[in-house]
Amino acid sequence: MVDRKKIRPSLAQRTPIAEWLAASLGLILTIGVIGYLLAEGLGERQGPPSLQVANEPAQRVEGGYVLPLVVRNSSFATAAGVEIRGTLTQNGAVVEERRTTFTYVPGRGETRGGLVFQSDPDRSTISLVAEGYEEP
Amino acid sequence: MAASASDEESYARGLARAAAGALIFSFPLLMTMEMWELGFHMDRGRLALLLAVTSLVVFGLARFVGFRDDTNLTDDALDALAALLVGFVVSALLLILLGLVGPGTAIREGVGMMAVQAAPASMGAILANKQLQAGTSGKTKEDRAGYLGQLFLMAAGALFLAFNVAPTEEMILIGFKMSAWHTLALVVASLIVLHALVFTVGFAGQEEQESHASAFAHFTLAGYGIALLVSLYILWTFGRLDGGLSDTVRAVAVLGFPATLGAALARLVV
Repeated sequence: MVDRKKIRPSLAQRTPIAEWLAASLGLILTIGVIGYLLAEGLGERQGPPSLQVANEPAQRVEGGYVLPLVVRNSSFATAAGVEIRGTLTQNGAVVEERRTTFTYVPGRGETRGGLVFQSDPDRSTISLVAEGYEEP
Repeated sequence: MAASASDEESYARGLARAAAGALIFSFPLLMTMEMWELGFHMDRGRLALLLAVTSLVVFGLARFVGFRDDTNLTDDALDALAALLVGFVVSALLLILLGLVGPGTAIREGVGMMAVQAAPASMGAILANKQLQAGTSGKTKEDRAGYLGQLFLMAAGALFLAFNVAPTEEMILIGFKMSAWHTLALVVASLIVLHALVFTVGFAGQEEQESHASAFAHFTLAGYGIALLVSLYILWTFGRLDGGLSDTVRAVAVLGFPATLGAALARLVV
């Protein structure tokens, strides 16, 4: 990038400090990311996705209630098309049942979404289950 | 004694050029849904290998294309590393800017998404620096590359173009839609296109290849072989070889077409 047609100066002389900086950062990042991926790959335990569904406090919206959901995957395997069913029960009787599908829940990650109910979820017992998934 | 201030400034400008290249080359993939998903569900070992392969390809490009005219190995290595840095930084920033990576993203997910995007971005960084560079004169490095260097450039071109289309669902779908005869026709078409482009674009060293037959063997067949191997590698990397042999052959032939175009245009693109 720099014209050096005259006598070749030594490597240290003709290399800008910025270049050393950029190159060493590049080296650190490349080796770091490859190392991280390898460590993760080697530490990965085989096994199906392990899904836990939790809810956050319900919120009133126009025409009903939204129950925000967090689906966590504690396994390394990513789950696709995750089916979540939420049921509201009062004294054993089902008040309402809603389903939703999450496109992806990454391995060791989480995805957020919500279920929409007509009645206030806080007045009922909430039960949430992950019904199934497909492999990506 | 360190380099002068004007050298520092011109190096910074080079980095900016590289960033522009990384941006242009990686944008289509940054906005492809399958690429984000690959970032987290792709096999970690294969992703690490992909990064290692990318580093080597970037180094090879630095060797034959380069940020400048030196042929010094250390300089080329420094250029390659800087291009990798630019690739990582540009992909990470864009993923954040587009709201694909945020505070809620798990580390595994974020690093994976950045790593898979960094591959095309750093190739773009190293290429653009040359393409956008003003007033390079004299013999370019690719003229000195020799036959093996030419094959490497073809492989790099094939890798880049194949990488751009391989993540999409359409690759598999096209394979399903095609009959064996379609596949055969596509192979023939790939060979014709490659041969035509090799001759009209004029790879370096072509002058010595007198006859069509000899050029066909040296560049067209060799190039197509490389394109097929590159497609096979990319499909394996993305975990798309789960089907049977017939599906695999078809997928390789389908991806082999863009890979062939990449190989043929390597000289224009690179």
